[in-house]
Parts: sequence; C-alpha cells; structure tokens
Amino acid sequence: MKPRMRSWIIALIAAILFVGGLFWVRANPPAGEPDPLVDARDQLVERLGLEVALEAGPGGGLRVEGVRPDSPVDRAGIQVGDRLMACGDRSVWHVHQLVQFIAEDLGVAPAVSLMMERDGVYWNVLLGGRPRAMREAVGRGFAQRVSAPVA
Amino acid sequence: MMTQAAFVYTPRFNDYDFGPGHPLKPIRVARTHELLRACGLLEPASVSVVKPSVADEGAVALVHTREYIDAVRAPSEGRSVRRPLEFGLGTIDNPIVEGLYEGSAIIVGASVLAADLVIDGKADVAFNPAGGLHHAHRARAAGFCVLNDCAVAIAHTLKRCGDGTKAVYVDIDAHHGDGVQEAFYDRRDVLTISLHESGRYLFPGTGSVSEIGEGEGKGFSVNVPFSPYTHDEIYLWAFREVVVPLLEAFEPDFVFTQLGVDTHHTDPLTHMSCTTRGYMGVVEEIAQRAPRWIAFGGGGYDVTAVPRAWTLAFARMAQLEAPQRIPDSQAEHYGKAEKPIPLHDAETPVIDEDWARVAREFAEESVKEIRERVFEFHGLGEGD
Repeated sequence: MKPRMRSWIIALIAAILFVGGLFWVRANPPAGEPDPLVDARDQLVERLGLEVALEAGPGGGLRVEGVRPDSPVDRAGIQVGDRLMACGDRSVWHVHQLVQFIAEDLGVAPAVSLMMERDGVYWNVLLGGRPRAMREAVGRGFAQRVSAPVA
Repeated sequence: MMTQAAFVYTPRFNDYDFGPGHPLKPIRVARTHELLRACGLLEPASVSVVKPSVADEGAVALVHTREYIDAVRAPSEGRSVRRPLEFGLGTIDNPIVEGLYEGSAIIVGASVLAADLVIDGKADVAFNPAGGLHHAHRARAAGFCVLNDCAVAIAHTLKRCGDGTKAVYVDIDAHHGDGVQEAFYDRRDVLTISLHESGRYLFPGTGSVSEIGEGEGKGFSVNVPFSPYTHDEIYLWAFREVVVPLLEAFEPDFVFTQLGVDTHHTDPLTHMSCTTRGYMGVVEEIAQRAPRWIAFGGGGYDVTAVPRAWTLAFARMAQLEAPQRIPDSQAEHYGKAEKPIPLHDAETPVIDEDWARVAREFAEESVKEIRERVFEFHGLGEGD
C-alpha cells in the first residue's frame, strides 16, 4: 500500500471517530454538567411516563407529546395531545416549572395533582398516593379525579 | 345623602345561552331581576334600572386581541373559524352558538356602562348581574366565558380616568379569577384579589398563593385558595385577615367585585360549604370600604340560590333593607310554596369535623403565605 494512501485512510478514520465522538458526547453529556432540560424531561419520563412540550403553546399549558405504556400517566388516562394546564394550583408555562412543582409536591405529600385539558374539557388527575376519603368525596362536580401510583 | 344605585339590565342578557344542558343558565339573571322587582328593591327613587347596549369593539380590544375578536364574530357573520379550539371555542364549556359575539358584547357593554355610571357620578354603586365572565383570556375563551367584561370595564375605567387612578378587583367566585389576574398581572394600579377553591380540586387549576404578579405588578395579584368544605366562618375569617387590610392599605378609587355565588354549599360544580350568610358577611365588609363600587355577577349554578344571593347583595349595595321572605309571586321558584320561604338560606350544611379541620388548616396556611409574600408590598407588617 502506498504511504500516501495510508495517511488518507488514517485521516478518514480519525474524522469518523471525531464525528462519532461528537454524537456520543451529545447523547452522553459529561456527568459534571448535565443538561438541565434533558435532565428534566428524563425525570418526567422516568417517574411519570410523561413527555411534554418544553413550553406552553398559544392556548397555555404544555402539550403532551408522549405517554409511556402502563406508566402512571397512562393508567390515569392521559393521552398524546392533551394539555397540562396546572400542577398543584400553579399554572405551568415551562417544563422546568413542571419538574420543580412535582418535586416540591412529592416532597410534602405522596401525590401530585395535575389539571389536564382535552378539547376544552378540564379534569383533575391525582398521581401517586392513595385516594383518601376527602379526595374521593371531592369527585362530585366536573373535575373528575383519577388516582394512579407514581413509579 | 342616599346612595344612588344602578341595576344594569336588559332581556338581551338571555342571548348569552349555550343551550339547555349548559350549567351557565341565563335564567339566573332573569330571575334575579324578577326577584328584585317583586321585593320592591327597584322602586325607590335612589335606584335606577339602566339598559345597556353592545360594547364598541374598541373597548373590547382594550383586553382582547383583534384576531380573537374576529374569531368570536365569525359565526355572526356567517364565516367559519379555521381552528376554533386554539381560541377555546367550540368546546363543551364554550360552544359556538348563533350570536356569540352579540350575546357576549352586550354583557361587556353592561359592565362598561356600570363603570361609566359610577365614574360620571350618576351612581355610587352599579351592578351588572350578567357580568363577571372572569375566565376569558386575551385570546382564548374558557370556563363559560368568551369576553372578559370585568377586565374590559377596569381597563376602560383606567383609560377614562387617567394616570394615578387605582382600582381594586375582588373576586369571590369559587373559581380562580384567572383571566382578570392575567390582564393586569404586571400592573400596580390594579390590585386583583381572588378567593377561590384551590386549583388542586377545581377548574381552572390555578390561583396559587405564589402567583403574586410580576415586574411592576409584583405584590398586586393576590390569591386566597381554600380547601373543599370551607364554610362561612373560615371564609370570613380569611377575608378579614387578608382582604380587608389590603383594601384599606391600597386606597382604591374604584372597587370592582365579581360576586359569583358558587361557594354555596348546594352548588353542583364546586365543593365549598358556604351559605348566603357567609356570602353577605363578605359583601358587608366590601360595602363598608367601597364608596364607588362596580359589581358583576359571575358563577353560581344552583338557580334557587343565585337570585336570592344577588338580591341580598344588591339591597346592601343600594343600602336598602331586603325583605325577610320571598314574595308569593316568586315563591314557586325557590321551594315548596306552602310555607313562607326566607330570602336567606333556611338551612346550614352540617360538615364533618375532620373535613372542617382540614379546611381551617388550609385557610390558615393560605393566610400565612399571603402575609409573608404580599403584605410587604403594601407597607403592611406580617403581623398587622
């Protein structure tokens, strides 16, 4: 093999490794500096089985973009296309807030309450915890409540 | 001097009708008018019944986007809206019906007229029972509300009266007054205070104590969430703890109130346990601090409770004495006609002790949080 050809192949391999490395780093950010956005979304998927848009759309609320089968949100009947309007009693405009609110709520209570919307109909979903007598009693009226344990 | 009171009314309020199965029934307003008349509360010389007309589009545009107004107008003009759901229209709560714009805009016109009467000194207090559509957003209908008459009336008042005018908005509907809060969230000349059942249990899901306004308006949005089963005593206690000191510290030129009656224990959509006595306790507290007062109706879905509460409220606004009993001519709408029916609730709900305790602790927490987060912006100490 001619020496010139060999150096060309080496350059090609180096280029492939470099580009591949870039992709690898992108997919696996160094442990020291996690991407907070990726981290937030991963937490939602892991804990609740929920994938949402990063920011609220024109009508407010985060659009549900994915529901992992048999996850808490799946068992609670949440579907792709639903909008998550509020968590606890706070409006949600960004995925960061949602993650923060869920962490806060799970810190003080075993459950997270979400206000969902589909085609203009709103309903309450309670994730985690056991439905207590009061929550069950609260079921009258148009806010239906569903309880599904958090993974 | 006698308090001059205006009752804004037109049979055209019946046009704001989403159909027979819908909970927001225009008959709530019509029966209020009938009951007030039967009680003789519209007769005194100090009371005038004033007929509104459709608000002009310029006023509506003080709050809503042109694009949205166009979408609301579409059905009246025989056009179809391409994506109605993006505007919250065509839903179960807010169906697209004939004359949607006119039906909504007459209510806005009535609220603006109520404000004008007070601004011009033709009335000290004015009440639009069809108003109070507090969930309508800048570009989206929600929760039975299409055009936000409360926000338009407030914006109109500030525009007419100029710089330095201050308005307070107190919302005692069981649902969070999200649309009005949103319209003035970054302003300090409008203090919005909403008392409601917590968004954890009820539409629209918002109204946390942590929502206090932003930028210039920080500290000028106040939310008092309650737990289900909150009764008169707890509700009034919280009102006196936070709303009264804020009202007194803010010294508003105009007081606007949304007087929804869905905190009532018989309301089919909410889970609160108040009666007309607690409701009137709050109205009394407002009345003592609102020489120039514009009031709107609002929610309330038990048609046997709402007209009684609004009749009592208007009587207090006008400083007239309401009769003890419902006149015979109206009795059939409010119960068995064999016995006399009082205007106030005859019964007080019995509340489970545990639930009452939860409700009290919940209210105490809300009051504490508001003192910590908001009072400093009003020169109030946390212990005041």
